[in-house]
Amino acid sequence: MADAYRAFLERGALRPIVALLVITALLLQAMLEFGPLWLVALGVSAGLYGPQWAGLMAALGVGGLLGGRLVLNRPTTAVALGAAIVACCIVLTTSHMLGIVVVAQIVLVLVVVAVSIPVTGRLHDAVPSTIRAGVASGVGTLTWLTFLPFAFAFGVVSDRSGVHDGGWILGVVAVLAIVLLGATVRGFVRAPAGVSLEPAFAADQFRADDDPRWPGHWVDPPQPWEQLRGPVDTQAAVAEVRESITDLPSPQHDVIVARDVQRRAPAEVRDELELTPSEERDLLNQARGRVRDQLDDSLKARGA
Amino acid sequence: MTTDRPGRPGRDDLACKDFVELVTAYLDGVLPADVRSQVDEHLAACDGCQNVLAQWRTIIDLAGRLTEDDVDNTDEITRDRLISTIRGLRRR
Repeated sequence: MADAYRAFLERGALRPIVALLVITALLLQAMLEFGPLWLVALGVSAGLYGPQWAGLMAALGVGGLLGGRLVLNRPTTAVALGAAIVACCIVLTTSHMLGIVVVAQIVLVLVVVAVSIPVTGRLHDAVPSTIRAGVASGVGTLTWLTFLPFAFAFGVVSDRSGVHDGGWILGVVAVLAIVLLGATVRGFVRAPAGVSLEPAFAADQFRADDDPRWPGHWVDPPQPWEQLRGPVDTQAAVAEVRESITDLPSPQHDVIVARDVQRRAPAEVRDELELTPSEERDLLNQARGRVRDQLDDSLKARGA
Repeated sequence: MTTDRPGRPGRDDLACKDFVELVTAYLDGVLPADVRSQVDEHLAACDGCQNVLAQWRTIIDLAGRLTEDDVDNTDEITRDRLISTIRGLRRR
């Protein structure tokens, strides 16, 4: 628990990620809790509440689907998404047309959910697995602790001046989301927090550069796997590779899944993940290196 | 190139620690011709790096037997958030 708190409080990449997750959760929860208040203010018939709610629920699903495909590694992407969030909030504060208000609510939920998926992935990559559950729980608690005063303030303003004026509070939160998105987005692929771009093999596996005989060569050259445990063709080896790939942090995971599991062309993978050719090859080389290490250890253990 | 010990390349050759960073580029066939021939010369003399290359190919082969669902890494944080949202909706 102490480690989880330390991870939360330490300066560095984690704070904007956590803050952004709290902000997106605030916006999402505000729409789910207070969204129908706009319909009340507009005096619409009760029969229209159902379609509005159905639209919000559908936006949760579609937003999740889009979020799984969203690659947040460009400031322009972050600004575009942030601008969409702010625009929806402005519509909610200014428009009195039912259709436009409902569409703004649906789009807001959709974009917020879509953004929160890769940001959650970033948090996943930023903390070690030993404290991941604690950090996840902490983010959930922090979200509710933040939502309580937010909901109180929104309620007070809405009660005094109407729900449209309460929407300005959403606008302030949305502007915060833009700032945090901009701060968080850089390094989504190039330098994810906690995932250093390490070489495929540890440095201590090679002789020093000033070694008089074989500088930079193997200390102990890797042995063929067939000598360790027969042909590497077993279900156990496939299972080991599956586990290794599943455990990889997201940039390396995404690249090796696209290249080696889905067998897609390098250019296609680079386009989808918005990587340069050298970034794509480096990430793939690292991913294969980590999988090799784990499989090598496993085969040695089984062969011992 | 001189080979002064079985399984090890000569001291003026490409270093093994440099080769392992080029394995994927080598397999993708994107190395410049001069670097590729340097790698080929190195591989001809270095058993350790030959083994690494074979292991890389084994990993690619084994990974190709998996499906995208096999290696889905949707994490517990995402799951917790989804469960929390769904529970919130059920309370209504």
